[in-house]
Amino acid sequence: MAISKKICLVGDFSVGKTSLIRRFVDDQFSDEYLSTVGVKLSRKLVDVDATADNAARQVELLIWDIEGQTQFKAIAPSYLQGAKGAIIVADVKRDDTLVHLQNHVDLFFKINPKGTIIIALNKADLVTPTLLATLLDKYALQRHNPRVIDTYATSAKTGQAVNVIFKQLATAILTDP
Amino acid sequence: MDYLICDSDWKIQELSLDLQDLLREEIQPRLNGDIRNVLPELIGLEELMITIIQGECPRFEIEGIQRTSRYFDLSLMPYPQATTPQLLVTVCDTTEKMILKQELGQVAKEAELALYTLSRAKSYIDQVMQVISDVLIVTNTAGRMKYVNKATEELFGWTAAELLHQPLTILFADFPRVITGQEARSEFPVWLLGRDVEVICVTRRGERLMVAFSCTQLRVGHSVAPEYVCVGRDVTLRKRTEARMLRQSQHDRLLGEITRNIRQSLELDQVLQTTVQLVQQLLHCDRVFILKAENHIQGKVLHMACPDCQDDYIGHRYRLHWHNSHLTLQALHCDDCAPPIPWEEQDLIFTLFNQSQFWGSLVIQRSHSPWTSEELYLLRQLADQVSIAIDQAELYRQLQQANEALQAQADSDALTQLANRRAFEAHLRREWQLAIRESTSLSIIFADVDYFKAYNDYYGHPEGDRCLVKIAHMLRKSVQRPADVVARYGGEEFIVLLPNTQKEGLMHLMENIRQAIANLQIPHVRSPITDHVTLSLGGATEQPQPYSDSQALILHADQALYAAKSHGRNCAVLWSSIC
Repeated sequence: MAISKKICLVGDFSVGKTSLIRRFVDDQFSDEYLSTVGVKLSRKLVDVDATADNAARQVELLIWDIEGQTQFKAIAPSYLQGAKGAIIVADVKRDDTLVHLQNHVDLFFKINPKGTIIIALNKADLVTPTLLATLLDKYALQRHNPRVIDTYATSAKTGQAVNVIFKQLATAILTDP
Repeated sequence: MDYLICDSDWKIQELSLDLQDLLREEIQPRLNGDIRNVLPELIGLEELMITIIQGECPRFEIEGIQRTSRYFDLSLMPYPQATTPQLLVTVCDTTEKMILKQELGQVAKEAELALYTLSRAKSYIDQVMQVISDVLIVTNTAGRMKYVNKATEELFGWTAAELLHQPLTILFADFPRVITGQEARSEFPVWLLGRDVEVICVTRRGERLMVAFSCTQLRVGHSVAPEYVCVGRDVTLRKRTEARMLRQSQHDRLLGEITRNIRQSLELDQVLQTTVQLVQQLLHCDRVFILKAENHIQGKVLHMACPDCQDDYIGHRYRLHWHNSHLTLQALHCDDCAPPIPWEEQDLIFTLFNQSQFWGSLVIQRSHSPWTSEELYLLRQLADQVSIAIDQAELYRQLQQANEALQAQADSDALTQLANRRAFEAHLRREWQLAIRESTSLSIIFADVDYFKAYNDYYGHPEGDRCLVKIAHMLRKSVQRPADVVARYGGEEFIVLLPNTQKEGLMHLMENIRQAIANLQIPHVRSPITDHVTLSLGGATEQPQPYSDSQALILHADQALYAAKSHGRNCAVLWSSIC
């Protein structure tokens, strides 16, 4: 039986958290915006490749789609409790969501100091590769915290890097001592 | 509200009956089953749940868990009634509340996204407005500023806070520009509407600028009251450059005209009069004079241009004042009858030279505006040109004098100072044509000194010359009308041209001449006919016709002279009497 691990998708509202999960779990996408309230749990089995220390195995990701932060309502810390990892999501078209990345990282690590984070700069299909490269460099938060393992430009619409971030996070959680 | 109770191994010990309907999980909640199978939201919270069971944490809640279309809240707390520590998990259906919350949240978030988009657009427009180098001002209907960009602040020196709510017209020169709370005229200056309306503006520091405004009316939505958007560009530099180029062009034209005038005309009076008129017109002067110096302290007005002057200054004398080797006029003191000339500090005097000698002054008066450096430079060049004209005119005058002297020498007989034969021929041609035109008669007298060779042989040539001079003098004295010409025709022969003279008058004049010469009583001991010098004269008269020849008239006079000689000399014969 696969081991289950809780991960959370955290970020400002309308950055595409639900869309990333839907693309990852159901391989579907919709342009229609339907805001998430509270939290919704999704599950997906992920194959983790063998490493030098571990054999290949499966992990069941319990993916918490958490209601996004607005200027009037912060993210409820109780949702993050017990998570092994998080994908912190921002919208490359909205500067404020990028600026808030660090706040979300800090909140997650405050509750889960041993957790693992991947940064997703979502809606990458809407900007030029040049701007994307600039943003990836500017928000490479892995430079400042080893528990932030990487930053990706993602697109739930095109599927760009979606599976990669989930799989890389699952791998990191499993291999983390 | 439903509930589950589990032990520390997460086995369900008790549960309410309606859970299945709420949780919608494939796995049925059953006693001794793992609570995490029916509530996977608890996975990862095991450590926390232990602290709750042990009483170290009184309560933990997870709100708004969505399961298909239903929402519920979970509350985790110790279950104290059990004999062994157990965990009570309450499941509270919040579907109705959460759906409402979702609907409200959806609207709020969409509004926030729209607001964000709008604020981005506004921020973008603001940035564009702030970075453009042109002035951008928006006013309300009353012409009071409600938006100014950075370029406006930089150009005029006022801050946006100082300008907002003030009338646009405070930026304009000739409008009240001190920012006060006083009510100014409450309307937009509609004459600004249009493209590139140039307005003289004034900055906070008092600097005057020329700004080209393009203003348009803006009606926002269904508002009745229009607003006005004004874009302004500082064109001061361009305007100054244009004005300088125009002045330069005018100056070049002035200098060119005067130079051309100097080249084309050697008449100094004409050059000087044109100069004062052009300077007065193109530089908008009150008065322009040219004074010819009579000495170092006094000058006489030769030319002037002064359209508004009531008095005529020409010919009057004024006192020049020398100061530190510069000629100035502290005041132009008039002579007794000369009209006074008001003198101001900025009036100009340029010294004019002739062959490096002080000749006179170019005096220029203008009271309405100060002189620019370009104008002063132009006037210095112009004064130099006038001096050149004076030099040229003087050289021309000297040349004319020399020519006249040469001409006189070429036309006169060196001994007698009478006209020579060449000059006589010229006179004859002129008078011949005149007589044809006026249908008058023309007469000629040929006179020859009788036995002059014998006179020369006896008295010598010097005495002969003196004799000829005396005869010439008497001939000139005898012929008194201005148009009459007496010439030495050659040797001892003289010829007289008499316009408008009939043969009666001719005969009378010849006899007078003959008598006058005889009366001179110049001794001539070798004359066979008398003891003094005598003349023989032959005259002819003719009314010239268009195709007749003047030489015929000379020939006739000569033939008459020959007849006089044949008749014994010392007599006068008319050609008409012998033919």
